Parts: sequence; structure tokens; C-alpha cells
Amino acid sequence: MKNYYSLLAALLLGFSGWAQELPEELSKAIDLSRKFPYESVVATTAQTTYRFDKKEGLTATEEQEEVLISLREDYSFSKFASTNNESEIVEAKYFHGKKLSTQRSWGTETCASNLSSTIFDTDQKICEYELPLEDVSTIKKYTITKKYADVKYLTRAWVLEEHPVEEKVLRFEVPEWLEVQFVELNFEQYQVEKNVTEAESGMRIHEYRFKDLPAAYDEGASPGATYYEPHIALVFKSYTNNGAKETLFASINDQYQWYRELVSQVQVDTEPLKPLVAELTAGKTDDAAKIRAIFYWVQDNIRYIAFERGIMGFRPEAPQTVCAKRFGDCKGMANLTKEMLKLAGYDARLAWIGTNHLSPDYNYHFPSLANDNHMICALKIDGKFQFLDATETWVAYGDCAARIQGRSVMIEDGEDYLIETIKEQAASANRREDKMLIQLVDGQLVGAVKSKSFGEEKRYLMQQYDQIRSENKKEAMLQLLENKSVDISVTEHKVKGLENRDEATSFKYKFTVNEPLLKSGREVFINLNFDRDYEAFFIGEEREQAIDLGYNAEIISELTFEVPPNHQLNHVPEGFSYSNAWMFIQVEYEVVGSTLVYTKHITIEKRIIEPEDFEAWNEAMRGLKNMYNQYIIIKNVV
Amino acid sequence: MKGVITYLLLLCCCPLFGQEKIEALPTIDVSKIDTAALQQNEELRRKRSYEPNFGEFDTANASAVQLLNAQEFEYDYYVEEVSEKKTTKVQVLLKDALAVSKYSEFFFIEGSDESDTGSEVTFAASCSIISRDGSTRAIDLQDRGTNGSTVAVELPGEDVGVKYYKTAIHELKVGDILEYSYVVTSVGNPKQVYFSDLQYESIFEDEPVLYKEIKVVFITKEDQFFLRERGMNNVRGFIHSKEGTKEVYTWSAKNLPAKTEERFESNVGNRPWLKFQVWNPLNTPSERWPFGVGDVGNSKRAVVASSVTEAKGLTMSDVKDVMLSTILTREFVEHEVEVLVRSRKRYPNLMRATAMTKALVFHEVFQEYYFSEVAGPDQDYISDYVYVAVMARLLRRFQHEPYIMLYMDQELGKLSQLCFYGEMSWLIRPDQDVKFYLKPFTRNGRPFNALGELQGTKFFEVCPFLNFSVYNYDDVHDLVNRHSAQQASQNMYHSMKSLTLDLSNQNIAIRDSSYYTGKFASSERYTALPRYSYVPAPRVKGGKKKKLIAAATNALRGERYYYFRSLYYEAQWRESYEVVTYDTLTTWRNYDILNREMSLTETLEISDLLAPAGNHFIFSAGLLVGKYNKLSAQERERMFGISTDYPYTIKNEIRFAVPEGYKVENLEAFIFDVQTNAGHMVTKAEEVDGEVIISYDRAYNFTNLPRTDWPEVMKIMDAAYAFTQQKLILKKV
Repeated sequence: MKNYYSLLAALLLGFSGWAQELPEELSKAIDLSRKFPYESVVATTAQTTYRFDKKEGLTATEEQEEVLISLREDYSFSKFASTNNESEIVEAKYFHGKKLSTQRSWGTETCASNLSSTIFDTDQKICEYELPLEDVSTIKKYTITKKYADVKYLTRAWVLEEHPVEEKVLRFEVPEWLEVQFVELNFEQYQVEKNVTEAESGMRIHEYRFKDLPAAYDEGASPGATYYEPHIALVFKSYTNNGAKETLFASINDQYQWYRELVSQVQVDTEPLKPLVAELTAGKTDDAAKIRAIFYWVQDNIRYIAFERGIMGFRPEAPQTVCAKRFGDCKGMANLTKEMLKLAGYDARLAWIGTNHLSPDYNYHFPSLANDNHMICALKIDGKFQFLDATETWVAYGDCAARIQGRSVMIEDGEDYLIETIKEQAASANRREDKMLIQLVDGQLVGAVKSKSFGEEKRYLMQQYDQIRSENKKEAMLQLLENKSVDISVTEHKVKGLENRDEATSFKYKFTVNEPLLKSGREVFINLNFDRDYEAFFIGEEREQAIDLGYNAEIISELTFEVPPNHQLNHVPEGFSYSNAWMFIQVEYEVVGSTLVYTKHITIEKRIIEPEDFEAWNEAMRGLKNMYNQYIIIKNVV
Repeated sequence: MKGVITYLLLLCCCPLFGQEKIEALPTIDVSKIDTAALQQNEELRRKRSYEPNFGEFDTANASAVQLLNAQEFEYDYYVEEVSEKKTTKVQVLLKDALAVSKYSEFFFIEGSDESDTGSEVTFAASCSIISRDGSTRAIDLQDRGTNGSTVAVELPGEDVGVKYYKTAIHELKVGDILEYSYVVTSVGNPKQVYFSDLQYESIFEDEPVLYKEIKVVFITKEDQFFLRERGMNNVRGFIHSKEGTKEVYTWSAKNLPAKTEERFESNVGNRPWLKFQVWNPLNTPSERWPFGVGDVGNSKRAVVASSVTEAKGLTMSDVKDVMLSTILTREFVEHEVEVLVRSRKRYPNLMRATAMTKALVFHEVFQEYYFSEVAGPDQDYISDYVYVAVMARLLRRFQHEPYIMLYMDQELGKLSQLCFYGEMSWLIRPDQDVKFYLKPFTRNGRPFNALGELQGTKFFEVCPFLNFSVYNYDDVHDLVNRHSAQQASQNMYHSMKSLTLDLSNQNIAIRDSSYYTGKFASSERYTALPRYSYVPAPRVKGGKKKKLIAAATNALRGERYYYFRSLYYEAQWRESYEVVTYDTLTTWRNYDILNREMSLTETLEISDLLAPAGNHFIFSAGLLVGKYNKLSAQERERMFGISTDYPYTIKNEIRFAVPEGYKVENLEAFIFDVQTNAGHMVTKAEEVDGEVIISYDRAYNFTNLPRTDWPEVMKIMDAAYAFTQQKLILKKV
């Protein structure tokens, strides 16, 4: 033990006295360990090389090489590589020993289906390669070569790894017969050198050299990785084969034509749907009622279960099959909605879209399968498009879920296509309106509340409520209403609209405050902030990634406190306000006759709070929190 | 038509529709139960059995109701090769959309594979829907075309012969009854079949169950197979009957409510459950134990007895026999390790060292040997039995008489409920003068005294090994209850918080000196160390570079240990408060000394608890003891007994000087005096010479209490919650 502490002390002092004796790799490992206390391994160099071939169609290989240094003893490094029907790992090997000259083939320990979601099945498999790193400062190298059977499915080249990388090179060896566009995304925060050289064969070598890359890490509540992780979108436009130019995705139209071809392969038989459509629209004369009936039927009766293996990731299931099975993925549900609406006499079409999980860079600015991850139905009525997404069970006809608002959508239009943008709704569409009356009755605070929720606020409630088992719904509703910053008991309540998409959800309830009054002599201290919206929502200094709030929102609340007879208001807190281009907060107290009216208005127009917004956000939340802490004082004057 | 009748029968059996409880199992014929056998078992039932009886309960609002949950274990020893078959059959009435959604995907296993013992194991499944109109529709689990709804799901590490599948069940609607079954058949050489797997069956399911049945059937020529079984926590055991050549054991219950989560519960310890195992003592000669050092998973699965007669009358004392005779089989393992110890010559004075020192050396050497020579890369622990057996032999060789502890994890029940060999846990202490109970090592764990963990647990202690090769009952001492008299005061967390109130910034500076004893100390050592242990690496044999690497490794371990320990405790505070600054003054060294107490000193600043009220301030001082969740209406009702891992006490002492120019009011709100059979919650608050002192003492002095004592426990919990809601007024004077 004594020996241990002397070594520890020496290390803490930077190995003074014997630092010069340390092998270089050990010294490096010690430095890196202190620099990255959470990490077990760092790549000193990494290179991913892309090569292309046209012998068996246009294929690509991705060769990844990393030299790793271990910061831990007895550490088992895991390299994860994904494959699917269109790609496979063709070689994996690692190197060890002096000068990393001893080569070993590297078998997978495990290879398994991606089970991250039980209702979403794809052909993706995650393979894990394990590499034992025996000691601190052990250095090993590995290479993994992956082959893409069709470059169409090679849509991005990612930069970051799951561990820090001191230097990384992305290298594209582009033959002269291949036309490819590199779209650089999220490079701003990184040190990168770009270099293009031409080899004698006419091959162009595109190299991106990155320095000091952090580990890829999701800090939680972050937007999708395409918002912030550096990567290159790959657009393969054309290649020359036997003297003839083969067009790939040179334009959005090329992408559309490929989708169109897939859709045309679907064997549509609308006969089985006709009785259902007739039944749903019977007796309905106006368009809205008919559309609603069909849209809501699909929402309610087709469960979202996706089997997206191979081409089924892009080609919709036949509508009659989806209807018969009562389940389908987004494409199947969109196609069924479309065909049912067409049977009812409407101009309904398929539409491809990327949800807001994808950054706005993926909005059909360039052709790529990475532009979309979702399909909906576009309904043209009165010369305008309405967008129907039946996978959103609680969305009313006329509304769109936040995840597709503001996104570009590619709509089929015969041989051509249309690009439209789904309107982004203002925060007021997702608002909550509260009115509360607080009285002091027989020495106890009591309250009566009317509250309404709209848009995403309402849908969130409906979704949560729907996920509660019937036998627990009553208790859950009480817990929801009693979720205040003070201890209350709800004495009676009425709820409307939790099962109706077309109206706001409204709550009416009464409660008593369980906490005893806080008194000092004749003075009573009362905190009127029963709902402390956004309380403690401070963003830590260490946070680097943006925060995705899910949707923009508005809260309008008015609380009326009836000053009891024989009492006077002895202290009323100051109000608070804050506003900038995307946030508005106003909290005010106003004495109106024998009442104190406390109003709170919060509008957050942004869904994503960017790192540059953090300071403003925290300043606003600090002010809001200080406001929430304030007590009023009333005094018995008799 | 048949389907309609089935459906109607099911509905009639369901209280929701027919207002009658189900009287007969709809698909399993129970009419052939031998009534004579039932009578024969009546006395046994009276002695140890209770019918789970929760009376009628409301299923009207249930999301889903299991009309039937039946499991049958069939062991056919008539055939050339022993056949074991487990059939699970469930019928669920889906009553709301959530239930439809939950059951819309069906997971199953298909195919066959060879088991570790050489048996051929085959998996099969079926699934069908009984609609409201009575029609039955089988789900085609083979529908695997491009448009099919069944897909293979490959899971890591599975053999090729068996595949995991999921299927989406189409056209499922509210009101449907989903019926599914799983069948697992195992066929193998009878000489290799000594025991079935241990079966632990929870009585309750996710949904209410109208009828549940577990049946074990033997088909055998000879009276050589037996069922060892025990109903736990008021559950009666199986009822035995005979049907021709079949020995039938049946357990059933009606009207079981859905399992719920309750506070103060253990996973199984206080819940009704069943355990059983089929066992063939004739086929288990002790000299042929198939155990090895690497055979961790199988090393504790059997009970030894030399004859059928003994087997039938197996008692707790036989367990000791098991232990000694199986330890003998460890000799080859011990030999390997001993050779390793001697050959390294790393411990020249070892023969003169104390038993404790030797034990620590053996532990280290064995750990190194085991993980370099025996364990696979994914294995991070050793079987406790193998560990104890080897350590015992080593200590014996070095002239010490170790003591071996035998106990049962509290999660599995009390020691008196021990039923199978495989339920036992093992510890060892080096000799009678040492109170250090060595816990089996993990890959990176250092020697750990498990005494703290044993407190409150009944165990056997076996000593001494006077003659290791000859078993003698007289050498075995039963020390049950040795450590059962554990007091709440022995497991304590005591926090002393000294505060400085900064009214201008509404911040509170805290210096918190906390002190842990008993179980609190031992569990804190583990939970506070999420990633890295403070374990010096084994001494390194090799060149200078190797030694330098080892030295660096040790130092980096220490650095990371300090770093993550601080982060851990800071994160604990951040769960409840807005922390402005945090620092720890603890050196952490006492975490690594294997003592039974631990202390921690932290300084921090929080900004949550002071709120302005005009010129005055409201101080939420009650929250300084930590947040406490209020009991909900559902939680006030309770189905099961009340359990704690161990009796414990939480104490707080909060002190602060009253800020100049202010006086303190509402101290009386912080005074509680609740004393019940279950424990107490006693708090005081006073001002002495300008200093406020709030003391808090909450204790639960039980490990297990019956459900009827829940009101007594709730009194303490209600007071604990109420305390956290109290506020002081700092009034400007």
C-alpha cells in the first residue's frame, strides 16, 4: 500500500523525477486519460476510405481503419458495425505487436437484429467486434471493410466515432467515370483540411482531414444527429459504363422516378375497400365529414407495425392488404388513406417527407434517400393540399403533428412531382389556457380550475392517457390534476375531449390545499404559483448540444385570488417580463377591487434551443424561477 | 358453432359477463383428479397450506383479463429417452385498445437445439383468436413471405438451430380473446437427467387471472422421481394424485388480481410464489458430480442423497452433507491454485502469516488465476460455491480451520424455506478468530467483508474442518439466528448539516458531514462506485516497462476513483436541488478500508429553498432531509406483507445561525413524535443562542411485517412526507 501511494503521488506530480523514464505510449495514455476521464480508449489515427466499382452494378466499399490506444487495463473494446440486405461486412482484421505488424482475422462475437423498437422491424443488423486491450497504453489497429451492393444506399459518411479521435481522414477515391457530389454538413465547429488530388488514372482523391474529434455522444433531449454531427451527404449523380452515361440520382426528379417505379409495382385492388368507404361516407354530404370519417378510420383501426425489410423499406404495402391485416407501416397507411379517399372521389396522393428528426439540410435540397424517412397522404382539395398522417393517432383532420411541420414534402403528380412545405404552426396552436380561482375558506386555501389544451399539448395528454390501463385511468387522472407545486387534493373534476380529436381537451376541477397556512401573527404568507411551468429548466454549463423541446408552445394563465373579508394585501410581488425574437414571458400581479389577479403568459416559439440561445434561456428561466418563489402577504386587519 | 360455444363458455365463466366465477378449467380436464389422493394430502395441506384467496374483485375496468393461465410440466420416463415437456397456455380477454396494442405482437421461439447435457430441446408455439362471434381464427406463424407478418428476429449469442420470431397479429379487436401456447420438449439420455431446472413461479401476472393452474406430471415405471416443492408466503403446495402410471401434482388458484407495485416490498420475498424441482436421487451418485471450476452455471443445482428413502425425508441437515461432500470434489481445483501459489514464491513469509493475510493472498492469486485461465471474457464473477470450496481447501492446507457460511438470499425467502441445493449462497471466513466474511471475487473486485450484508440474514455456519476427508455430523454446528437480532440503530445514515444563509442571493451554503454504519456503509460502497474500483492491480512480474505500466494503471485507477466518486455524490444532490457549487472534502480512503463505517464531508451551495415574502423570507427547511414522495391513494391499499432489506435509521441534524436582523418563526411545525411498532419518526426544532437546531430521527425497525401492520408504517411515512413540506419564516425585525 505504501508503494502504491508513492506511485500515486509521483503520477499526480506528473512523474517528476522519473517522468523521463516513461515509454512514450504510456506517457501519452496518462495524458489522454486525464484529458478524457470518461473514456476508455482513444484513436490516435483513423481513416475511412471509400472506393467504387462498376463490375456488378455500381458498388462501393467502405474501409475503416483505426489505431487505438487503451486508457484502461483489461478493457474490451467493442466496434459496432451495421449491415442490412444491401450491405455486408466483407473483411475484418486487427493488428498487434511491435509496429502493429501481426495480423489477425477478426470474427464477430455477436451479430443481431436491431431491436430498438418492437413495432419497427428492419433488416438492419448490428455486428459487434471485440478487441481486448490488455494494459494501459496497449496499442492495436483494426480494419473493417463493408461493401454496399448499390451506392444508392450509401447516403452519408459520418465523421465522429464513439471515442475521441486525434486525427481522422475521410478519403474518397472517385474514378473518373463517376460523378459524385459531396455535401458537407455541420463542419463549422471542427478543424478540417480539405484536399483534392488527381491520380494518373484520372481518379480524383478527395480527402478531409479532421483534428481533435470528440466522441459522438447524445446528451439527451437533443435533436437528431444530422443537426449537429459533422458528416458528408453523398450524392451519386451518374456514372459511365461501356461508354454510356447511366444516370443515378442527378436530380430530385431522378429520386422521384425511382420512388414512382416502386409505387407502380404495388398491386392495388380497391374492390375490397369499396364497401368500407361506402359505409364510412354514407349519409355524409360535406367533404370535411367524409374525409374525416376515412382518415379517422385509418387512424383508429390500422395499428402502426412496420416490417421494413429490403425494398419494403421503400415500397408501400398494397392498401387492401393493410386494410385486411389491420396493421401497416407509414407507407402502407398512407397508401390506404390515399386509395380510400380516391374511392370517395378525392384527389389524394402519396407524399414523401423527412420528419424533424432530420435536420432542415435534408429537405430535398439535393437528391438522396436520406431526405425522407416517412410517408403521408397529400389531399388536394379546393386547390390546396391538406396533409394526412394516419400514423399520428390523435391528430385531427386539418392539423399536422409538429414532427412534420415546416418540412418539405415531395408529392406525386403523375410523371412529375411537386415540392410543398407543410406550414409550421405558431406556438399558439399548442397552447394551454388556465383560469384559476383561489379562495381562503375556513382557514384553508381552496381552488377551482378551468383548463384547456390545444394542439401538441392536447395530443401529448391524449397519448399519455391512452397508454394507461383502463383500471388505472382514474387514479392517473387525479395524479395529473394534483401535480402542482403545492400539495392539493382534487375534490371533484370533469374532463372533456380526451378521446375526441376535434375539440380541445378541457379540465374543470376543484381542490383543497393540504398544506397548513403559513402564518406569522396576523400575517398570512401565500405562494400563488401552483403551476411552475418550466421551473428548474436550466441548461447546464457543460451542455454542448441543442435541446429539442418537441414543439413550440404557449401558456396563458390567469389566477384570481379573492382577498378574504377583513384582510388586506400587505405585499404583492413585482412582475417579471422577458422577451426576445423567440421567447416571450410576462408575469403580472394586479389588484382589482378585492381581488388580486395574477397573470402568466409564456410563449416559446422555437422548438430547438440552440447552444447560442442557452444564455438567454437561462436568464429568462432564472427570472421566472425568482418570480415563482415570491409570496404574497395578506393581513387580518380586524 | 364449436367456436361460438367455446366463446360463450368462456364468457359465462368470466365474472364480467356471467356474474359467476369460473368453476372449471375450460381446456384442461381436472375432473380426473384422484379424490382419495386429495384426502391423503389434506393433512399436509392443513399444516402448511393456504388457498390464495383474494375474494371476488372487479374486472370491469381491467384493460385485459387472463381467463386462463396454465402450465404443465410433463416428465415421461417410460420412453427410451427421457422426455420433458413444458406447455404454457394463456387465454387473454382484451378489453381496451391498450391491451389490443400490447398483444398485437407475438414473440415465440421455433426450432431445436442440443442442450448442455446433450438433450435435444425443441420449441414450438401456436396462437389463435377467439372473436366476439365465437369464431376461432388460427394465426399462421409460418407466414413469412415478403408480405408475411412473421419475421425472424436474431438475438445475440443464440445457436443456429433455434430462432426467435415475432409476428404481428392481424385483425385483433377489443373483445377478442387471444389464446397462445408455448411448448418446450426436451429429449435426452435418462442417465444424464438428474434434476429438472429449478422452477420459480410467481402467482400473479400482469393482468388479473380468473384461473391459474400449474401441473407437474411424471410418467415413470419406477418410484424414482420426486417433486421437491414449496409454496411461499401463504401459498399452499401441490396436491398429489395418481392417474394410472402418472404421478400428478396440481396447484391451482382462482381470481388472482393483477400484480401491483407497492412500497416496502421485495421482489419475491413477501409475495406469494411457488418453487419446485423434479429430482431423481438414484441417478445422482455423489462421486459423479459433473462440476468443474468453469461449470459455474451448473454447480449448485442438485441435492445429494444416497437413497430414495433419505431423499423423501431430506431435511435441512442434509444440506450440510451436500456441502462437505461436494467440497471434496474440488480437490483438483485446489491443487491447481496451490501449485500456482507456491510456484510464484511471491510470499516468502506466507507460512508465518495470519489466516486473514493468507486468505487475502489466496483470494488475489485465485482471482488472477481464475480470470486468466478459467473464466471466459464475458464472465465477471465466480460461483460462490466454487470460490468457497477452493478457499476452504487452501486454508486447510495452510493449517487453518475456515468457517463456511451457508445462507439464502433474502429475495428467495427465509433460510427455513430452503428447498433446493441451488438456492444456497456461500461465504467463508478464514478461521474462528476472524470476523471477515470473504465474498467471492468479481473480475476487478477486491476482498470484501460481507458481514454487513449478512446482518439480518439467518445462516448456517459450518466449522471446523477437523478431518476434511471424513464427514462427521458432530463437526457441523448450526448457528441459525446468529446475526438475526439486527437493530435499526446499527444501520444508520446520519447527516449533520451546518448551514449559512445568504439572504441577499437567496442561496444556502451547506457543510454536510454524513456518517454511514452497518448496511448503509456496505451498500454505499457499492452504489457510489458506478464505474471504477479502487483496486490496486496485482503485483506485476516482468520487466521495467511492465512495472511502469502497472504503476501507472494503479495511479490512474486512483485518480478516476476520486473523480467519479465526487461526480456521483454531486449528482445525488442535483437530483433534489439546484446546486450552485459543490466540493468534497473527503479523502475517500475510508471507502477502501474494509471497516463497517464510512464518513463523507461535502460543501455545497444550493439556491432552491429560500423564497422572499416582502421583507421576510420563507425557508423550506423540511426539504433539507431530502424529498419524500407522498403516499398515493392506491399505495394506501396493500395486498402483501411489508419488507425492508434491513432495519435502518436515518438521522439529520440541521444547524444555522439566524441571520442578523431576522427572527425565526414556525419552528413548532418541525416537531413530530410518531412512534409505532414498525419504527418511529421523532423530530425536534429549537433555537438556542441564536442558532436553530433541527434534529430528525426516522427509523424502521423491521425486515418483514404482515400486511395488517401497514397503517403503522404509513404513520411514519406520512410524518416523513409532512416534515418535508414544513417551512420556516425568517421575519425581519
